[in-house]
Amino acid sequence: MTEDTILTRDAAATHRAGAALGRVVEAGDVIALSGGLGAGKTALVQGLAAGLGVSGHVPSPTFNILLVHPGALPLYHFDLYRLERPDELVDIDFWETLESGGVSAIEWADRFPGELPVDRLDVVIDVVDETTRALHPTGTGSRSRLLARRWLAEWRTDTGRVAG
Amino acid sequence: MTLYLALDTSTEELAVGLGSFTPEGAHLIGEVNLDVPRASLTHLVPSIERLVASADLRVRDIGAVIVGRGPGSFTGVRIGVATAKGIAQGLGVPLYGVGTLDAIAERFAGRDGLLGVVSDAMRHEIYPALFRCSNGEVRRLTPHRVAPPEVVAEEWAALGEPLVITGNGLSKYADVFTATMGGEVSLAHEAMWAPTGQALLAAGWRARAAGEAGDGDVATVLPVYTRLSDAEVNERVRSGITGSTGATPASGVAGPARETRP
Repeated sequence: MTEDTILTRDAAATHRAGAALGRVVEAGDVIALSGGLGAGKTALVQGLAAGLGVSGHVPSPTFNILLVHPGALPLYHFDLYRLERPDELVDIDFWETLESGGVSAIEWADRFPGELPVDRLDVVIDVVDETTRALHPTGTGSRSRLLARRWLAEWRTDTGRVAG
Repeated sequence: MTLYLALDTSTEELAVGLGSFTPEGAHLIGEVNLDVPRASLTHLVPSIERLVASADLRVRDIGAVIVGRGPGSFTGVRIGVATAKGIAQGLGVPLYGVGTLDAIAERFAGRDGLLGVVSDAMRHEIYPALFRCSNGEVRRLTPHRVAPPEVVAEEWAALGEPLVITGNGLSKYADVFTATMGGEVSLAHEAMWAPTGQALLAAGWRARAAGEAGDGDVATVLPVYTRLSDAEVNERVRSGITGSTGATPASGVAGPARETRP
């Protein structure tokens, strides 16, 4: 376990980790999530939405593929699980949405690794045990590396508050 | 006198124009140009209704429709073309297509010299087109295509001629052009990057005068996507259409094309 890992003991903690990310993201940030069914991708995005000030329910977009939530910044919540081919990304206006000035969170981003933006925050969620998750953020460019550092710092501040 | 409705939603700017054609050119009755990023669908039909009403006319007075076919925002192009087809079909009037970049170029009709129009294609690419403006004429020199801005800047620098560049591709890549082309290039003000209702009418007039606007058949006016999806490329291979390698056919059109090449 490296110091760049966020360990969450339950779904509520994963939600809190997402909220910490939501407080440090900026317009145009892209977060690419991977991890198996039940890993907590949607829980993390629900926290992200809360951190962005999105009010209302944030359901899984598995059926809709893309759900848009107005907040401090628009949140574009993708789920690529049901897409079969990269060209279907054209039909959902994938790249234009990513570059339209909101924050994009992409579940099952690892289905089309070649189609993701060059500079993005990859977050791999590992299932440690029934409730514990390990979140591994990796920036793939200068912008997303900075975001990863700011997220980790925000998370440590937050856990310090919760523990104290 | 036929009343023309012109519309384009391929950029973040919604453009609607109402006018008529004379032998000398397009006569503008009114236009609505709105900066509505990702919201053209909400504003398009109300803008048309408002424009028609403000001219003391009714929608059924419209005698022909002109639509900007792109390239540009994928969703925007589809909204514009689909709406234009619906209106033309519903009214039983002809539909004519013009290139969105051609309409942008019309805004520079009063100048002389080379004009480059660059539209943002996302993923670090642009839709570039070169035009020659002289004596009020606007002539397109290059076909529809998609390319990285660095490649286009190198090509245009090699022309060795002063060039004005416009289009929303400048919002991200202005530096690329100024760095590569130095003193040969001047960048248009942001207010000149998008088509207007008036420019669409002018482009429609020019295309019709040159016999390049088609026969008005609603079914044969197609969007210009330029970047074909894999599915469309596969379909072309299956149906035996040659000359398309997955890059860009000159027409940029997916489907049964009857297209005028520049």
